[in-house]
Amino acid sequence: MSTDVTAAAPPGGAPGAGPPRRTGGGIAWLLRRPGILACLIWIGLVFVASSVARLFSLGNPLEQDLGNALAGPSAAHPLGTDQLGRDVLDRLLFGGWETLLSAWLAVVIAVVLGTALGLLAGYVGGAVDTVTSWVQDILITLPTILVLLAVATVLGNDIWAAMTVLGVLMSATFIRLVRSLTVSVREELYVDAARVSGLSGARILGRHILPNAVGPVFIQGSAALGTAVVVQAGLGFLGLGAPPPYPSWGGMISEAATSISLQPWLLVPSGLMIVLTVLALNLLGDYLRDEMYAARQGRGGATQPSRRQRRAADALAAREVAEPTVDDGSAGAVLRVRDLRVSFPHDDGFVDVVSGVDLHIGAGETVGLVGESGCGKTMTGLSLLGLVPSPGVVSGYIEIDGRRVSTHDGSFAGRRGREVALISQEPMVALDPVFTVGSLMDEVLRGHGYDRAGARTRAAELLELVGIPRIEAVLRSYPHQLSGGMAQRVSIAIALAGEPRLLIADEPTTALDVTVQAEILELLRRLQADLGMALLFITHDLGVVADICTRTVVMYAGEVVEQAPVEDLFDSPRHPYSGALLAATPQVDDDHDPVGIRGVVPPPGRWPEHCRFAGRCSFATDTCRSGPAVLRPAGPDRVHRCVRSEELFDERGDVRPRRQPAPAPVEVSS
Amino acid sequence: MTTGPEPLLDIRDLSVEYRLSRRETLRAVHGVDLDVHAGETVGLVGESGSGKSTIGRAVLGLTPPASGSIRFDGQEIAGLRGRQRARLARDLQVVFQDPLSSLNPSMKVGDLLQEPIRVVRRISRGEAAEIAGDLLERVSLPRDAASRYPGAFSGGQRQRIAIARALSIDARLIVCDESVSALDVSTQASILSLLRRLQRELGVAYLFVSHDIAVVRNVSRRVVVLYKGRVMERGPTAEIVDRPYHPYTRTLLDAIPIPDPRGQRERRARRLASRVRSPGGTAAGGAAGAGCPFAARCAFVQDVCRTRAPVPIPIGARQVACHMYDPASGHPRAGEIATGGWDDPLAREPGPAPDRQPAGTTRHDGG
Amino acid sequence: MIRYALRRLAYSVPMLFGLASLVFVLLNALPNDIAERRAGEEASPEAIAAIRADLGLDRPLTERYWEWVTAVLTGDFGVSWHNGQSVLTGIVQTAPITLSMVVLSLVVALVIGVPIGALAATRGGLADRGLVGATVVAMAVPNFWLALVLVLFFALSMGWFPATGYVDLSASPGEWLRHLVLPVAAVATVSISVIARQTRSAMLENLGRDYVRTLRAAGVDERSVVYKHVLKNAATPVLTTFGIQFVALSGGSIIVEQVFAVPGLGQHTLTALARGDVPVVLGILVLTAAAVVVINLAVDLMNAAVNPKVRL
Repeated sequence: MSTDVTAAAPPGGAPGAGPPRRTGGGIAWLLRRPGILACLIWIGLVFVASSVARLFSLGNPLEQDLGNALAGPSAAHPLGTDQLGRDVLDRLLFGGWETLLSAWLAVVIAVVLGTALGLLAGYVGGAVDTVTSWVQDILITLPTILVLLAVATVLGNDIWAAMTVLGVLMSATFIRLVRSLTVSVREELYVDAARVSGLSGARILGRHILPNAVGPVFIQGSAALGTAVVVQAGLGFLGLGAPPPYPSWGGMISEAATSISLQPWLLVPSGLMIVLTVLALNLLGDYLRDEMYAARQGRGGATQPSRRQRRAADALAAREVAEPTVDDGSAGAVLRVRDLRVSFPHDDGFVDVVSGVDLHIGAGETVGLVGESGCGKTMTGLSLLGLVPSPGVVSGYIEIDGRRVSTHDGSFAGRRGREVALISQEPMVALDPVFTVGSLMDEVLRGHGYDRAGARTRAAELLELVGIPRIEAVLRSYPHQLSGGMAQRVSIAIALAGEPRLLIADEPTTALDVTVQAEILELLRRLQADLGMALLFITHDLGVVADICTRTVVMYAGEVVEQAPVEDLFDSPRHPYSGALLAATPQVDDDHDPVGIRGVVPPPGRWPEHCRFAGRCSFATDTCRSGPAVLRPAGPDRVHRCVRSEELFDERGDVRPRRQPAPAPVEVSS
Repeated sequence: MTTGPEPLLDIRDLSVEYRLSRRETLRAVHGVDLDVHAGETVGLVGESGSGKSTIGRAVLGLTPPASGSIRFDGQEIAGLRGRQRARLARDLQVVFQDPLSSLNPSMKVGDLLQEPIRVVRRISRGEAAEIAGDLLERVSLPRDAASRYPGAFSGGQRQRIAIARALSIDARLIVCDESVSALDVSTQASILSLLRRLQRELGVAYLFVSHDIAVVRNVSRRVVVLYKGRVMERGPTAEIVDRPYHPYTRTLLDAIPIPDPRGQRERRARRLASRVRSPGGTAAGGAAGAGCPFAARCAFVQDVCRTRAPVPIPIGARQVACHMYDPASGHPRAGEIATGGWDDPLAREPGPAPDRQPAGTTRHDGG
Repeated sequence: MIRYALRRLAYSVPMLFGLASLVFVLLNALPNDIAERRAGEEASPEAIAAIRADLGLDRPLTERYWEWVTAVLTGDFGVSWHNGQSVLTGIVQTAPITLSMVVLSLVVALVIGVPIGALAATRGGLADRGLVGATVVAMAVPNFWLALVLVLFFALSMGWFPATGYVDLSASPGEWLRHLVLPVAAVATVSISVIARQTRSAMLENLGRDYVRTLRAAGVDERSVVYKHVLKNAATPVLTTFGIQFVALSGGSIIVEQVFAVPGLGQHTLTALARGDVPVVLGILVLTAAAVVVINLAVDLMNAAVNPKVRL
């Protein structure tokens, strides 16, 4: 859902919401995350207790009491005694020191070796990379336990040597991790920028690349520590490690096994100790990964909706909106929308990213939906397909082809593709990469009721319709074998397969070159003329609107601010935002300097009660901030949401900011 | 072309190749000449695969050239490495397209701005912080922006930070690689006016790489049009935009939709009448070995276009690499143009025949 | 496709060679006291030297390496230092037992892990959190301990399955399976969790991709979107863990065999270890690594068959 959300970012993900850094002290941060805290406490407790027990020789791990062998838990022996009557707790703590320390050794070796080799391979590339990836492949291929047993064959029973070798073997994971991180960061523009700034390779590695690897390495390291503990215990179980009578966790399980039918309890302390410690380490890694992911997404903490939010969602979805009245010009239209809202969970409630949109599109009509990013264009489009990503809630009145669509019970199923279809922005990623064009089209067409032979014929017809040459070759191709323009034509063919009455085109030409864009626009225009669909064209490019649309809807901060036939809007916009967008667009046949709009679209949740554009509008007065701005009619098929529009027109005859002719560019001194 | 003192940036016959695999290489840039004078802006336009960004990267030392020379302020900089290249950072800087990925998200803005300064000059942290504050003010951001992370800023603000960093050590040439392409038009206009203002105030020169000719027209006086790694046409921007000579330039310009429904309807009609072939059949890839790279799509293609690469022909202040303007090429239309009798279905408006130099005068062979 | 297969093969063969060499060097170049251990505690230096000479340990490493490599290429892994039995014979006798455990575990892990992952990815909510929580716990349980717990409950208390031993498949398929149920359950649990988690995250990632939206928008049935398209796209990372799981399961089997007294490769290895029988350990290690290389090759080819982009 990442791509969808950027189009209308929920609060917090929007620019200006603060850096993805934790705020407040480390302790406060921890207290808000009980899972991480619990893991840290357990690991710390085990480590401190076993270190203290070992270093200060507390307890009697070796003292035998044969008269009291295989006893269950008691006051004297909280975890019972083993077959020689030795205290299980004392033995656990005594053995824990070696287990944890040797596991720690293995992980330190793995991290240092892996990070160094990974950085080197990723940054230097070439032959170094080839050799390193070879080494890594070899290390991953070797079965850990077998190698450790082999090492023990040669070196005898030496747990520290074994764990050193384990560290080398485990470094493969870190090589792979750090290498791929380095490669992806190396491609980042900020590394290029650093290089242009004259920074040395070492400095770039240290300041720009290594810091990115610290988090993932730490997370992986936590899990690796768990693995090392298990391997160490496994070796102990097989009789390698601390020689008897000294205890090790694995050795204690092995001892417990010998008296399994006499005293099954003995399995519990040593087993649980390992399970809990490894669990804490693994969970810690998982939690930190979630935190890192959340920080990258720009929000903190859990994303599960609370119970209150779920109730709010149900209430929202159940909101009753009456059918549009006949006199708003929408009667008989293919698409009729009234008071459309799209809301996302935020804090303890919901916040709208689209709030109260009215819209209608007739057959054969092309309506352009324009506005800056973050105004809710894409969410509006997706809500008409029932494809708003998961925590989002859609409510309002939607009617497609004369039938109302319920917004909250999945009634879009069966209507998508047949009544309403979608063309999206990035043609190369919009097609399933592991199926050929032919099998994709076959599946879609079969879903629309064609038989095998019929689907094959129809697929060829559709590809011909969208102007694809060498149809047979394209049907056999995978999406990545097509050019961007071809892939977009295929997407259009797939969208047309169910002969939809309404087509939603979400920035369908933005990712394409202008010459290809011109052809795709031409194709859409021709299809529109031949098939008479209703077309909703979402774009930020006013040139594209002028080219293909018959009517324009301008959106700002989740609501419609102006709606007008395309020529009227471009000739004389009535809302200052429409005017400002026009004045900001550079023109290839015009020498005027474009005029920017100050500020940015406020993120959802921070929309004011009054006119939402007032904060950025150069004509805003106190009137604009005195109450909500409502849509007002301005001539046939025209509405706008500006309180001062008429007044401005009387005063200056225009709502556009004045544009200056470009000053003569700086002359070259001669 | 501008005459006068030695250009600040002087690229001659530059070629750049990318290795696709062990056997294949892609020639992304093919024998390109380009110069930028101090304090001016030169636009570099083309579609994807034209090699425009590659030229920018070659100038910045991020991609090694296969052949040709790049001189900055009279000094050869192609293939410079290590310390010598690092010294160039003082004069030569960059503003990339995506302001989010061109600023390290884990460094504070102040540190980002100070980093290049402290590499070049041995100054104290306090002095560097002072300079960073001044730079932020220069690009109309508050001084306290230095203590925040790039993630806290909007796209336009981040691009201002990127510009501030480029300026931080008094750069004389900034390569703007699609610097405003990722921004909304509302923000784009402000960044363009910032770039213009800084040029007036500091005399910095821009090599402005962009796919958007409307933007290039707005910022640059001279433009170079690239297609598949070769220069198609070059000259004063307004002149070329108003009256393109090269068939490719025309195709490109006619494809741009203008925000004027009536005007756009006319352009569309003209474009459809021009019978330019669909690029659909052409696979993506480098320039063909021989001939004009546009031959496969050109409405005026002749045998000569497929067999021999056109040389740049000077026409007034421009150069056009098209056989139609070369009387010596043998292209049937070349004669018509010479006599001014060319019936041009692509002509944007009726006008006099191009005021090309009389046949037989010196022909510039592009290095 | 064939070109891709050849390319992978061209990578795997030198890789195997490198592996074998590394293992040889590891076992032969490290300072060791094998001769001392074999000679016993009160042996004279002469006796130790005699043993060293007998085992060939006094000859230069390069010479021994060359001899070993040329022999291995003809399929000769040498003879055991302990009883002079051919190394290969010893492995051929014990490996099938371990292999049947590993293969069975791998199948079980796949058959259970993938649906669990798919379920968690598509259901979300409580089911997702429950399944993910279960996999985290399962991954923290050492297989040998789990094996003992299973023995305690299902063999000693319930008596459903035998606590120890192994019956050959050819002798009685039913008994073979009955003897393998507990060992396989103990070994496969971690793999089930790993595969389930991998499946879940790969599917979640794919569910957020644009192509999924395209398919839904075109009216493709949700079941087909998830189980045909998303699952096939998610197959690549899941298959890739297969090779790693094979390695993990081989190691796991060796330990778990001890619990169930299964006379497989694990016991063979431990016996050789106790006797300092280097040729046997070396042979086991090289052949296991070879098996892993073959599995990885197979996984790569399967990946290429599923995902056309891999073939590039």
